[in-house]
Amino acid sequence: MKAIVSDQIILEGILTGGAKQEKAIKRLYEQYFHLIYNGRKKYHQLSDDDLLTAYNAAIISLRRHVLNQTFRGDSSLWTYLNKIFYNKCIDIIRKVSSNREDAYENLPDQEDEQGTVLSQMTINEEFDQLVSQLAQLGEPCKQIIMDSEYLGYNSEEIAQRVGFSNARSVNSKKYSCLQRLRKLLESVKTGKQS
Amino acid sequence: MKVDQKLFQTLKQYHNKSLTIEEVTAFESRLAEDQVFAEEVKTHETMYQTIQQYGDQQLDSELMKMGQQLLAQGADQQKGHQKSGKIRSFQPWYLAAVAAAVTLLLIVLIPEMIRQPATPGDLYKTHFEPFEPRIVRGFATPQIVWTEAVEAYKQENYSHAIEKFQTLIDDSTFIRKSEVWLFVGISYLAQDKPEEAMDALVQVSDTSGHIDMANWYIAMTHLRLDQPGQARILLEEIATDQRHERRAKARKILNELEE
Repeated sequence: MKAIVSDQIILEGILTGGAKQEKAIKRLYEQYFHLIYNGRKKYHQLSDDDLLTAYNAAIISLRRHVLNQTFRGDSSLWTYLNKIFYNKCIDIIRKVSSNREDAYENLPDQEDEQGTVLSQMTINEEFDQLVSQLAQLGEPCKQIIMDSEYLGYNSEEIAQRVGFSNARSVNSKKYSCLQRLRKLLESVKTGKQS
Repeated sequence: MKVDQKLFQTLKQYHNKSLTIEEVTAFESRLAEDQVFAEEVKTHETMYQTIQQYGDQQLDSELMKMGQQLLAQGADQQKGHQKSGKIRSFQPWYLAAVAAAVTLLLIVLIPEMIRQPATPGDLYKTHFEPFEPRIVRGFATPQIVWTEAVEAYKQENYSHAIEKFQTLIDDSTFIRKSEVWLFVGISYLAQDKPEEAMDALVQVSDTSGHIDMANWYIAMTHLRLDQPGQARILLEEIATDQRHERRAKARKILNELEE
């Protein structure tokens, strides 16, 4: 059995980004995986795949909440994750069953994304299309954008990962990749897919 | 139009709340006043959100693989336990030799075993005690059921108490369910049903006034389930919380766990 890694180390890893974030997420995932086993006993109507879906969604939410400081450390990571996992399970139960879970009082709020001035600006109905456009961006563009803008690797690290000679080449390539992405997204918006 | 990398960076900082209050105010004011800027922000925000969504999808598929592997490992371990649990037939001479070896080992090891640090199970037995319910006012119709449940609980008739508490949980007009879940959890623990206890205790809402006590009993449940690592995480949280009435006990258990 692996030693328990403290909340502080996991949080630092997520906030640092890059390889440390990937390692922290993996550790977090393994450390609290017993929630799946608890879920098997608690939510008989859910399959293992449902529980994995709920657990993965909880981990991804927690990552986002740490990065955008919605999680402020008022409770332990375990307590917080447990609560999100519970919400996600209830969401799935509601989807698979027409019966509302009225027995549950005080259902914790759904994911507490705070409304910002930006929250209304995106064109949600086109997201599926936009995401599939990004998937078709090709390498190394896709990796450079994801490493930089999602995983938080710095340019030197990305240069090593994609085999570029230096960070400057990465920055230059990243700019042209973002430019390509913008064009792709604009083509979706105008209905003129390239 | 070109990608504005500075704007892209500002959006990331805005989402991660790493802009100063002044920077946020300036950004939001310009957004409200400058139509061209607002259009650019919209495009960049869509790019940013697309990247985040795609990243979430990629992470989800990686986690799914990891989860399936962990589940498969868990199933293998379970099979291993079942296999090792099968009864085999042994020769009498073999059994006698094993018995002799075990006796010898016990003679040598008993003094050492006595000095072993407390196990999570020992710590649980030492420190678990049901929490005394406090007088609660404000219940209307379910007051009688609550009183009956608490009476049963006080008399250590936990099965009856759980039954009554369950009635309150099922009652849609009864709003203080967190408190009831806490007592259901403790009742299960008192009946030595830690898994059922865990299921009940995690229902206590984080925003209720009972979360501190629920966390204490969740820690107790982890000890009972021989999950000292999980117990330690919660006990450390309790031990450092100046308001938590069980902080001294939590420190004591932590010391004993570390011995």
